[in-house]
Formats: sequence, structure tokens, C-alpha cells
Amino acid sequence: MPGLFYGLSLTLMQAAKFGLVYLMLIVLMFLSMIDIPVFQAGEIRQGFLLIGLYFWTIYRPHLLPYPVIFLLGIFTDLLSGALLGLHAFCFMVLAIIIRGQRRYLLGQSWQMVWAGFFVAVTITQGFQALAYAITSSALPNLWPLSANIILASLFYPLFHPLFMSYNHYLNE
Amino acid sequence: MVAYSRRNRRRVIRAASIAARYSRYSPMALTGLAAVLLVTSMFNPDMWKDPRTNTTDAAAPIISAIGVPFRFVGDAFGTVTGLTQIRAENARLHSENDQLKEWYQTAMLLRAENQSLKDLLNVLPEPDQSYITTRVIGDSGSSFVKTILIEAGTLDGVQEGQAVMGGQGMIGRVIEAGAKASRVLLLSDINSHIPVVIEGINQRAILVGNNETFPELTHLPPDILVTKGARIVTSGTGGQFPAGLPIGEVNSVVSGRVDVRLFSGTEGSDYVQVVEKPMNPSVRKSLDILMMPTPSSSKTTLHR
Repeated sequence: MPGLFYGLSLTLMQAAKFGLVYLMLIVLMFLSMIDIPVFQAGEIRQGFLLIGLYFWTIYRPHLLPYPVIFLLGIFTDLLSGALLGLHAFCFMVLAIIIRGQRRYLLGQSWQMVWAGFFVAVTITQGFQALAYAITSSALPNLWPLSANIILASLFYPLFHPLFMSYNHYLNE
Repeated sequence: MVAYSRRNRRRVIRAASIAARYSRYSPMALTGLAAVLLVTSMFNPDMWKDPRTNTTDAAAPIISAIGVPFRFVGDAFGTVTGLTQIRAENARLHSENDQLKEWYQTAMLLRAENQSLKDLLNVLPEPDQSYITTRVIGDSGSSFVKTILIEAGTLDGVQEGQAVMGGQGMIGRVIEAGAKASRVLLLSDINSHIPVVIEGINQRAILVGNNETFPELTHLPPDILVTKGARIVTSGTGGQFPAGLPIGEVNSVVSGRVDVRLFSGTEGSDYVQVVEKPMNPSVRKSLDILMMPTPSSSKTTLHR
């Protein structure tokens, strides 16, 4: 009987540990929609959820099956007022690309992983710019677009060590 | 026993085959589904309005709760920086107050003159506008969509199309009104088109957002002379917004392109005011009807 309780508590602990990853992603999704008065720069927040998706797709892909990525994209679209399907499409395309390059990225230094994130942000922002250019029949201004990509990428090194230590904790 | 084992193995193989097919085709299927949703959304944005409004309504308390610590930090940060700037601010306010006292006297004279002219012409008064003050809880988090979320919905009297004011002037209009939260399309969004009038020359135009800091004026006659600093206010055309709401001033006029600097941005503004839609502007209501008390006691009246 004590063994059963021990086993049950161990399972619950494991579930909570892995469940925290989903909680982090949900918080990052909401954080990207909150006006942070200290930074005064909304564009930085655009990469928050993408950082989480990018990291966990590389290091724990089994935690992020495609339907979860799709749903996160749909919820982001619904909550942010963006075109429905835009983030879902971008996230799905990115997830397919990242999973294809996963083995390569796993063997690289964190700087290379960061460079990969820069590419991921560029693809997402580029596709979004294209979608809005089609709907509004106007070419997007390239300068703010480039600034967004750089600003969003600069935040990755802040999250990477935190996620990496939690990833090590999940191994224990 | 042997037959049972074979059947069992066949089932396992079939399940494994389905799982393999699912893992192979599900990313493609989901990406395709996202693309279909995107295309429908691009050509008919109102198609997904209801799910969007319901999701925003449900998530509004969570967004508001997550924002609490950030608002607290922002307020604390503002207080600390405010203390250092308070002396300079005080001096500036003193000089501004002196100027405003002079303007007040002028305004009182003009008001009396205006009233006497109205009495002479027997003009029926414009209806007063009421407004709701509410908190900003979030924004789109994207540079391609300029919207904000406010913590008031149809239960508080918010309706689609109402004008939204910042501290100094109009910032946008309500495009989705849920029960408890609403989405506001900002004037800088590329989909924003507002009928305005340039004060001084009394020229009507359309203020069009461009996803940049300064929206521009369109539909201006080619020979019109617009000067830098001219005030832009709502024209009230179409009856969507009350006439005369301040918006901004002309920032630059370069080769026919007229940029407008908005009086109010959304940066750092925690609260906004949702202005009630005007009554049918083509029908002037009688004074008796206007004097009737408003049903909602929570509303405040904006005297213009």
C-alpha cells in the first residue's frame, strides 16, 4: 500500500513537472499580449511564445505534438486579433522545419541555436508581413520589420538558460 | 489460443500503421487547415468574429490578472522617475497655468458670444456625449495589427463602432464588443479610416492608418493648402462618431502627403474613454428629450 502511494505521488510529480512546460507556454502566449509599461516596446514581446515553441520543439519534441502547436497558434490568433490561421500556419511550418533540423541543432552550441531562432523569427515576421501586404494591398515598411526581428531575437539569450536548466531538471 | 494471438497481433500492427500514418500526415493536414483558415480570414475577416469575441471575453480576466504585476512595476517605476522630474514639471505647470488663465478668459467671452448668437438663430443645442472610462488590459502584440483590449463590454454599454479617447484625443474605435471585454482598432492601424475635418480651413478628409507612427490624410483636393500644426478633429460624417473629437495635428506636408501627429498614443495609457455613439446626427432632438435622465447611472457626461 505505501508503495502504491509512492508510485502515485511519483507519477503526479512527473505530470506536474512536464505540465509546467505547457503552463510556461500559455503564460508566454498571454505575456505577448500584455502591454509591459517598463519596456515601452511592444515589438520585443512578439518573440516570447516563439522562444518557448522553438526551444521545446528542439529539446522536448514529444511534449509539443503538432496538434498542440496548431492550437497554440489558433489561440494566439483569436486573442491577438490577427488573421485567423496566421500564427497557426507560421508555427506549424516552423515546427516542421525545426523537427527536420533537430538532430543538427542538438549538437550545436547555444549561439548556433540562437542563430537558428533568428532565422525562425525572420520566417515568421516575413510571412506575417506578406499576409498583411496582401490583405492591405500595401508594401510593409522594411525598417520596423527588421527592428522587430532584431529586438525579438535579442530576448532569446534571456530565456535559453532558464529553459535549459528546467530541461535538465526534467531529466532528473 | 493461436488464433486469438494472431488477431491481437494484427490489431497492434493496424494501430501502429494508423499511428505512423497520423504522425506522417497530421503536420501536413494541420498546416493545410491553418492555410484554409488564413485564406478565409483574409477574404472575409468577419467570418470568425464570434469565436474571436467569445475567446477574448473568456480570456480577458486571465490577461488582466497576468498584467497586474507588470502594472504594479510600471506604476512603481513611474513614481520613482516621477519624483526626480517633479520639480521641472512643477515649474512647467506654473507657466502653463498662467497661459491657461488668459485662455480661460478668452474662452468665457467666446462662449457667451456663441451662446447669444445661437439664441438669436434659435439653434437647438447639440446633445451631450456620455462616456465610459475603462482599463486597457492588453494589445495585439504585433506590429502588423494595431489593436488594444479594454476591460469593458456590452454589459457596460460598449457597442461596436464607438469612438475611444486617450488622455488628449481619439485613439481608435471599438471593432469587437464582447460581454466583458472589447477590442479597439487604433487610428494607426492600416485598416483604420476615419472621416475628419481640418480646423481652420474646414476641409473634410479621411484619416488613414499606415501601421506607422503618423497616419496620413487622404481624399484631399490637390490644390488645398494644409499648414503644419493645423488641428484635426472628427467630422461626424456618417454619424459613427460625434463631430469635433480632437485627433491630432498636421505633422508634415511633403509632396502632397499629409502626415498627422496624434494627440494621444496608447503607450503608457492605462485608461481610455469609450464615447457613446451620437444620436442620429441628421435629426436634432428637442431640448425636452435631451433633458431626460440617462438610464445608466455609471455613465459620465462629457461636455464639449
